[in-house]
Amino acid sequence: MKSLAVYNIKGGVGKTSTAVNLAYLAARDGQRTLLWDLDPQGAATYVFRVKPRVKGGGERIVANRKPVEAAIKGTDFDGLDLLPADFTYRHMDLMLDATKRPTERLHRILEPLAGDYDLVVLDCPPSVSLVSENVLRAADVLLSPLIPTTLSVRTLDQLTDFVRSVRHRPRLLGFFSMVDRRKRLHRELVDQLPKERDDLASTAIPAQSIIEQMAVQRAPVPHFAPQSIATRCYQRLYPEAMAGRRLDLAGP
Amino acid sequence: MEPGEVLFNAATDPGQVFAALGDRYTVRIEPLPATRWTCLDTADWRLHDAGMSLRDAHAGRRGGTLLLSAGATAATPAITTPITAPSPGRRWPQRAEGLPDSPVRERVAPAIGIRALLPLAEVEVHGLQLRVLDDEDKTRVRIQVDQLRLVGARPAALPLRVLVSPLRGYERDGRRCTDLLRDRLVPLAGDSDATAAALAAAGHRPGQPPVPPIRLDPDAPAPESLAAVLRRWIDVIDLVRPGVLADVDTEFLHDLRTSVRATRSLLRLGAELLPDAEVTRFAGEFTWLGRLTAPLRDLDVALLELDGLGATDLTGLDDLEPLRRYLRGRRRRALANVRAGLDSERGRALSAAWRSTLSAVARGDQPAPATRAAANAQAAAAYRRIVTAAAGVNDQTHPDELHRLRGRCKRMRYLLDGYASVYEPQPHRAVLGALKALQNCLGDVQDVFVQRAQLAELATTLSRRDGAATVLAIGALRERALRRDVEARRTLAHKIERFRSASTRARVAGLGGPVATVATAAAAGAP
Repeated sequence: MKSLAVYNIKGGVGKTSTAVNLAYLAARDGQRTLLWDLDPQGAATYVFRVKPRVKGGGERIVANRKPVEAAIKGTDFDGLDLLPADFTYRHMDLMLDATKRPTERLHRILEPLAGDYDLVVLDCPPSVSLVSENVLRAADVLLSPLIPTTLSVRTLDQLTDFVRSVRHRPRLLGFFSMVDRRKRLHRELVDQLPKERDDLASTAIPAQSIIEQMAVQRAPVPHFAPQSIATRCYQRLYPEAMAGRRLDLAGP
Repeated sequence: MEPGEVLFNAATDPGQVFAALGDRYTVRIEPLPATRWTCLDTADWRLHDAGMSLRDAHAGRRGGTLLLSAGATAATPAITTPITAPSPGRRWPQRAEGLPDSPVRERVAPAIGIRALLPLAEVEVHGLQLRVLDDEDKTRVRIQVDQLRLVGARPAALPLRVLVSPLRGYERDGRRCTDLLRDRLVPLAGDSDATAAALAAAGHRPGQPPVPPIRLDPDAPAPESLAAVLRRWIDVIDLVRPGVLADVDTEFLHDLRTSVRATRSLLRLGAELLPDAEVTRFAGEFTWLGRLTAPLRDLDVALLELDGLGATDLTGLDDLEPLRRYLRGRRRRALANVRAGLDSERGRALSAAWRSTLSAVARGDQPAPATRAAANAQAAAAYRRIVTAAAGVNDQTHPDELHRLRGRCKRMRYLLDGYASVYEPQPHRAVLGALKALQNCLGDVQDVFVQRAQLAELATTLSRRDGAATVLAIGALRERALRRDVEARRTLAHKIERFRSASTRARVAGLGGPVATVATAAAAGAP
């Protein structure tokens, strides 16, 4: 079982859209996929029309008082299950802190699912915290959406340092998200930076209203807009994230 | 039956399922593409007996999918949701090695062994998918409703199949839907699934022998019963004949030859109950049929050994491919001979002529002993002949002599099988057990003898055209066969002793009635 965490320190950069759409594409590709919505806001859970709560409270899973399997919900899409968000996750740092080996807890929770799934996608809340350390321990790949600004390189470097600070180091891959090619700075960064950095994906995800439509349609973009540019971009990002190869240097 | 599968009367309409659920839930309905199922099993129901159900589902010209469900065994867990594999393209029959390398083959291959999967029923499927939604418009339960129709020679409507599949985490909703459907519509009783229903409608009886055993009247005239027993064997011959001609798998020929041997044995043992002329004529005909098919069977056995499906240990023998190729060539010619013989005027006329003779025998009005008396006398005589022949057997006895002894054993075996319903069950079981043990041991000796002779001949032939490596491998095979011979002979004395023992003798005497005590029977020198 491979695990892919979609993570950034900042909020509103397209983490949930990326997690939902990549999880959907993985399932469509035949991978038995589980999406864990770790964000107490529960946006991914909302997209899949699942009630944002874990029976008995999410802390029971974190504290190992409830098997994780019992909280999983099937989505409407074959091969894609969801571990829904729970509002108690807003206190996840405290929950984790109360456990033994607090930085490994999420990893341990996922271990029993190794036979059931080929891929786990973690939709992470924005923060640098004990949850983030757990995510680093649990993930094989850390996929980080970056808004193309002058500070984005700094954000990626900060993430790199953060990954270096832990013993288990997932592969870090940044990608540009919410790209507006009408802006010169966006164009320049998207065209130039991936050529200079190996830890930056060649695929960028455009800022498009069709992606915002996910919350209205309550479905992944490739499902309700299979021919859209956004779908094509996520389809290109998926193999890059899974294999870590630079496939295509063309921007969106 | 798959989890969540419920069968309803064939007259049940899919609309009734929709209406029953729609009264309580929001339900969306979507048509599914029409498909066909080919229901598969071996001729002797090996998948059914192993608790498995296999079908090839295909739509239009697209490639099909094999779907396997299975109950748990000691070694493997149950397959609750069918596991799938691409189908080999509706090219049935197919042996295990013809299936794609997949988990389906891994489970099916050990169960079917050397037998081929046959297409036993063809079903047309018109399906709908219902989605039961919650207040967020999220699917909680998928319900597939399949209208099934058996197609082919005996078209028939089959039960309506409803498959309730809750999404993960919504199992309680699935149970509620199932309960609702069971309340509102009337499910069929029993736990047979749609595949079993299709097979039954096609005239099959899964798990049952294709030619059912017969029950004889012990007081009926013996010729009438003998005719019934012999008719059953010709039924088997007629049943397996197409499988032999089509070369579906080696067991069709094996079953044909068993039936031929049984017929010849019973003709010999019951000769006084049949007209002399008919005995002479049909003994000749069945001898002809046995000889016609013997070379092909010998080659089948040899090839099965080389394919690792026999008793020979092939570890470390890598140079047998030329031998395999050579044997396959000979087998093609032997099969052509068998086909020509079975399709000849003589081959085609045999069954009808024999059946007509058997009908005349059954109708005969000559005075004759009762079935029980004749069966007992024949069993006693057969036992006596074996004991006499076995008396002189030792480590050095020539295989030909053991072969003759084996023939006597087989004759008694066919007698015990044919008249099983007449004999007392307990002694019958015990005598059969002792006889089988002796037969198996003699069979091992005989197989090794035939194999060694065959290998010697092959080594001579192949030494002229293939490398020394192949000849050396053949030599190694002969050595291994010799070791099996030594092992079989070591246990033979023990098996003979058991068969000749006072207790077996007493049980043979007790086949026709209350079992005499060992001491009494032994003292009386019975039979």
